[in-house]
Amino acid sequence: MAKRGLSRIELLQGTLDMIVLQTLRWGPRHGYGIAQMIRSTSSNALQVETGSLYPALHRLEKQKLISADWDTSENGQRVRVYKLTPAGKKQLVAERSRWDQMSTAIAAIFNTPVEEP
Amino acid sequence: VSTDRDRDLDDEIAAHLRMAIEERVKRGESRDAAEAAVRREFGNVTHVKEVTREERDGRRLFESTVQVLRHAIRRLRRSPGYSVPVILSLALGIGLNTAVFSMLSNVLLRPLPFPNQSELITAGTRTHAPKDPPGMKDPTWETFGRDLAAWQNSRSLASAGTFSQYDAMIEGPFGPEQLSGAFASPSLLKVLGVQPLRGRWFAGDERGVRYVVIGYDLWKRQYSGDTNVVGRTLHIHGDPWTIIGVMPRGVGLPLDAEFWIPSTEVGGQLVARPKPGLSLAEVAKDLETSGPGLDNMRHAGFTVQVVVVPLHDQLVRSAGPALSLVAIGALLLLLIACANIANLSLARSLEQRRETAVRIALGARRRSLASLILAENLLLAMVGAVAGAVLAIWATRVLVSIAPAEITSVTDIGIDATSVVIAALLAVGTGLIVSLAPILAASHVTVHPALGENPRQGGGRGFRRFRRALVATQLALTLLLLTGTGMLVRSVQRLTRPDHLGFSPHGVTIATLDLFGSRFRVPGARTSFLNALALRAKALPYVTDVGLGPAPLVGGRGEGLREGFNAIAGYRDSATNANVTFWVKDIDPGYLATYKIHLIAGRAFRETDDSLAPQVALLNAAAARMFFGRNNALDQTLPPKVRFVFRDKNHPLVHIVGIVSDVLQRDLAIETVPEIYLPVKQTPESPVVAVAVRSPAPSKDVVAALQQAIREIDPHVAATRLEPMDAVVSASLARHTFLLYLLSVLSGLAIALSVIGLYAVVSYLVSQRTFEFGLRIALGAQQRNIFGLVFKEAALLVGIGLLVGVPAALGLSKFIAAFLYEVKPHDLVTFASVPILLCVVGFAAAFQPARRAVGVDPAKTLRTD
Repeated sequence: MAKRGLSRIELLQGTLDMIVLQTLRWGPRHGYGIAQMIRSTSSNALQVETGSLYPALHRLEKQKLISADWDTSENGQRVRVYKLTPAGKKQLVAERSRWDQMSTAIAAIFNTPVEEP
Repeated sequence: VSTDRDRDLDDEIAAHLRMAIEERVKRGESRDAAEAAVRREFGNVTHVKEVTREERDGRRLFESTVQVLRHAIRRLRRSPGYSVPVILSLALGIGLNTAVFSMLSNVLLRPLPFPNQSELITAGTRTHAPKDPPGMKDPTWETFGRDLAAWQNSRSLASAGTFSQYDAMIEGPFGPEQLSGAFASPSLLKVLGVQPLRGRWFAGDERGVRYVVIGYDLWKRQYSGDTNVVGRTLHIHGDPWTIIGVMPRGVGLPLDAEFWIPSTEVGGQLVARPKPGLSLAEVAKDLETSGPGLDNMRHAGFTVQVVVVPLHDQLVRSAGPALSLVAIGALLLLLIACANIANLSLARSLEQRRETAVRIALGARRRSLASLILAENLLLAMVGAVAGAVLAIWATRVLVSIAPAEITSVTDIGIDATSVVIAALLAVGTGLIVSLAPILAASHVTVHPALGENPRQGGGRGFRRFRRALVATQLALTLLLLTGTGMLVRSVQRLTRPDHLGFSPHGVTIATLDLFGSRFRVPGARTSFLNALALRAKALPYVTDVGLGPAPLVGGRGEGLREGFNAIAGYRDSATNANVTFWVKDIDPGYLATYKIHLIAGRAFRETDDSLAPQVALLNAAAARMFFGRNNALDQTLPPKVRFVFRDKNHPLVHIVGIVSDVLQRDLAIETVPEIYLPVKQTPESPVVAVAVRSPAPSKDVVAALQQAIREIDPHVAATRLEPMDAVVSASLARHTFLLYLLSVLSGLAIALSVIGLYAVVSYLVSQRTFEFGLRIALGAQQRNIFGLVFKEAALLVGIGLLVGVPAALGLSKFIAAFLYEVKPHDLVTFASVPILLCVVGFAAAFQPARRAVGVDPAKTLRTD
């Protein structure tokens, strides 16, 4: 079970990382806030599994693409707030062009004629 | 720190859950329902924490490695067309190299079986004259210990002993055997620092008694390890010897000796331990100035240089260069195999460009792609190494069975821990090397073009150039191996030509007899035995000639005395100021005819050249040139300055009655030495112990007949050598044939690997250009045009290979020069024929792809793509 979960996260990581970075462009946010934001901006189409959100956040933090600080939320909760670093901003730009490539790529896969053996 | 951070993560997730619940409660859900929904939504909290921690702290190395390896195994099992050839090439490369390097390390690096063996030294003499024939550059080791007492009292040596090889026919309770043995000085064991396993060693008072010490293996074999063996009898050449001791297992000198008898006046090779703090050069200096035994040689016209080397070096010395050459050959083969694997692996990565592109598009990091490739190749290398190790065990056995005695006598050679380490290192090394190319290739994959392109046309110009470079390199390396082998082949051909030998070995059978026992110390006993044998041999059917005298090509390993040479003589040439050694052989009138040695001028010996007639001699061409230059040597007398070293023989007026052609004496590859032939009848107490018989009958029958004759004359006399001369020639060639055999095998494998590499690249090219060929055919191109296109590619690769390989081979050929005889390192025949061979190979490799190209159906090809 554990192994399967692991590989699923890995497969999505490129995409999820990009979405997280994109979300943080609008300002610092805590984990729950990020999840909410992704859900609402994608008109509920992308249900980000919280199970993969936190690994992604900590991975991005380790890569120094985002930084985190403890803060107090509007209703008095102690929360960990993430914000984009300059490296993260740069990465986001790169990820965007990669995203464009990927869409083309996937389109190409679907449009490839069937090869003769 | 880690626990703090864990608590932070707990807090963070707890806050998340609280916020989510609160929000749901705010929307009007009951607290219980909200909590349940949030938990469901979030999933397994513990698992999420675990994964998060892994992401944050990095996954544990072991788990990720296992995962990558699993993936690699899956991929390799899916493509046996790639894995199998790669594993085979690796097994071949690693196996052969492991075998060769095990042998190398065993022979060259394994210490001698004596305590503090690195202190042990030996000494030899050599004359250093500019015009000495190259073969005489080797120092003479065998006789240095003649004045042992003096060496034992020398200022520079702490202890000194001697040994000298003595092979003999022995007979124990389990029957007769021909064995390696040695004369040894009583001091030898003290020098070596070992003790007998049972009984004792010689005390130095063995005059008049026959005491022998036997080796461990002989003790086990002939006496079944009898604990009371001391006092039992061993027959050596028919004489009974009393066993006084048994040596420990694997300990003794020479290393392959199985029995030792005390050396009397014979002496032998010196083994010593220098006094502490003295360098080898200091010891040599002292021995050179203080050694009384050297005075005799100086009086005989030699200038003597003493050479002191570690005993280990001297014992393994001759094996070193040949083994190194084989090792270089094996390494070249490994490189060729590596190029092949890199090529295959590159082709595979080109095929997988689309897969790679998709992986990259989906977020796979290039580093993880690289580690996958690395894992695949290391896995293949490991499997290859295991297969190689199996091959190595077998190859070592074959190597040992064909290796010349100088290699196998040093030690028992097998696959050991060192070999395993070697194989593992080779495997990791090759795995890394062959991974480089595909990793570079993968790191250059850019998503967009790779996905857009047709899979058949993958691979940019860079890849094609790189693959071509690999194949060209392969061909160049193959050329190196082939030229080396080619020159050796030519060299061996030359060595065995009769005009090089100076005699015709075919049809001659020789018998060397052990006539050194006490019964033969009676004057005339030796000669009468030999004459009786010669008479019987002449009476045998189909025997055309019988001759007495030392056989050519024997006596190389200090066996001169045993083979019946009269003496070695010395002479100082006043014109060139060079010191010259020459051989003296006692022969009878039948000798020249038996060996078909060419008489250049004058006459052969006659029966009338006996003790009453004037003293006569024959010279070989080298000696005639040496004594008389361009002047006629016939009817001259032997120059009075010719001195015999080992015998104080006066030769008032020896008339030179004939000149004969040069005959190889010591070794096939060593230049001929000046020789003086004297009639047996004019040499009282001649040491000759050899008879030669020429007969067209099968040598097996002649050997049997001679055996019979010897037994009939005296059943106690053993033949130390009874074999066809052809066998002597091939034994003398052993070092060359060993090299030749190994290099031929390596060359054959190299050609096979190159063909595979070339085939792969050319056939890849054909599949890449199928569309183009189809179009050309559709437009009316002829078959030969298409053939031409394909062969042009092959010709290009072979051409580059030759352009690189020929200069490299010319540059490196000096390394093989030491193994060549009468073949120049820039041998024209070799350097002309090897490129031709490679062109043929190139043509053969390109033929099948070319046929495929011609067979392209334009209608089909053009429609599909």
